Amino acid sequence: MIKKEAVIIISLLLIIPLVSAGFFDFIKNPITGKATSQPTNISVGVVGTNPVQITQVGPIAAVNPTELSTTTIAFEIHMYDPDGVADINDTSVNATFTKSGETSKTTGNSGTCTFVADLDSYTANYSCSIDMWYFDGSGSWTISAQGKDVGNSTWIVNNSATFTYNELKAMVISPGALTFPSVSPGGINQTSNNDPTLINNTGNYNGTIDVTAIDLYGESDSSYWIYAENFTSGLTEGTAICLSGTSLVNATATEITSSISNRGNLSSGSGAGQEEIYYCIPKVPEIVSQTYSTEGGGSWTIAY
Amino acid sequence: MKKVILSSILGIILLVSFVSAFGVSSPYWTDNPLKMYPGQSITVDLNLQNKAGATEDVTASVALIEGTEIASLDDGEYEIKAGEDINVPLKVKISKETQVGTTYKIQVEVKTVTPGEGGGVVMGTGMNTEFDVEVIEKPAGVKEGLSVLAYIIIAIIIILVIAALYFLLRNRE
Repeated sequence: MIKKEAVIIISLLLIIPLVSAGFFDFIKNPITGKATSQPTNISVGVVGTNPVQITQVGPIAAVNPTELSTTTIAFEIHMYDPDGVADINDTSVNATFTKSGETSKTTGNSGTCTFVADLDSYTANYSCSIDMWYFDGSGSWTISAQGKDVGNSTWIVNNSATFTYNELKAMVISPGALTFPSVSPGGINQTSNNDPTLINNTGNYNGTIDVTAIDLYGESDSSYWIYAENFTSGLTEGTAICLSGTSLVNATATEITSSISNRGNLSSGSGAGQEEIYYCIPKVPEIVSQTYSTEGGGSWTIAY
Repeated sequence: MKKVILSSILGIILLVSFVSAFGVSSPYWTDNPLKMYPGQSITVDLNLQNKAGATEDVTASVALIEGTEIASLDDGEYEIKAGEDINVPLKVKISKETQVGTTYKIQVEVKTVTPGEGGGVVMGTGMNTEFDVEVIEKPAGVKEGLSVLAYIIIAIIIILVIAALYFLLRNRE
């Protein structure tokens, strides 16, 4: 009898761990052949719970602007995701160049960077490029790189990198030579008849403008010349500059009062990036009549 | 009558009407000084550009106006083809004896070489590249690199040692 009870107890102990249903469930839920429904605990591995990290931006060496054009600055961004490269949102990676007082620049036409390759299981490399204009300010620009992953979707920004955009002093002037009407010795307030000299700033320099004049020597008899000091120069049209303009000095860079290279977008048509300089001979010297020009002494120079 | 005669003779007229384009880019400028430590030597590339839609080559004269005590360059004329640019190296060297805090000024004058043609007042363009060189303390972690000559000497010594060992072993055999 004891032996029989022991067999039953051992049998129950063997059965209980194997059956998870209630002991009398078969009464409440009769067996019909249909699968029974029951709550099931499942465990799903969610990829991307960790945000990405931007581990490298650039570096970008100092960049020279290009006259009257853009300069494409190419650089790399490395994105690291502890959940693996598959979790990085490839199309989210982008960058912006910023500088106080300047218009920000954003990557490419689509505004993103391009996936290049996986560097390892967790890091991917992206190629970015941004165009800088000739009139963009010189100095240190901040590179703001950002991106996100698929699982976390938090935008991560890295502003730690900078680069230097160099200064470019450049100009296009026209006309290339001055003309005056025929003038008489002793004549006063003779202004040029083809001025102003239009100075288009094709770089990013912002500052004053100098004119270096050279004495004009007679072409027939070079023992006579007109001193550079006989000329004045200024920013307004008409005879006003004959009195108030800046007197030029032979072979000396002379700053034209109130002149400014006026850095800006020449295509805007608003006068940005332009300056105009007018010329006058307040009093024509009493001198031998002949043609005087820069042939003997050399050309004048407009400079920053 | 006198005036007519004189005015017809004393004329400054335009014979040429070209457009002059030119540019110079520098990594250092008035607001962006070059910082160097005593004993340091570097080369600064001045970038001369003849772009901006240029269709003709340009000849530019380059001259070091200020800073000759620490800087040097090959003064002279450089030809830049239309649409291209060139680099003119400016070498700067601070002697080891220079005191920290010393400031030098460098000025490089670059001008387009424009023939002063007869009959007019021909205009050229010029760019003055100016910047300060500030002498600072040698940054921590900067080590003096070996010169090329030192590398050559080391290489020769190594070769001689190897050759000596070779002949020594050969003689033993």
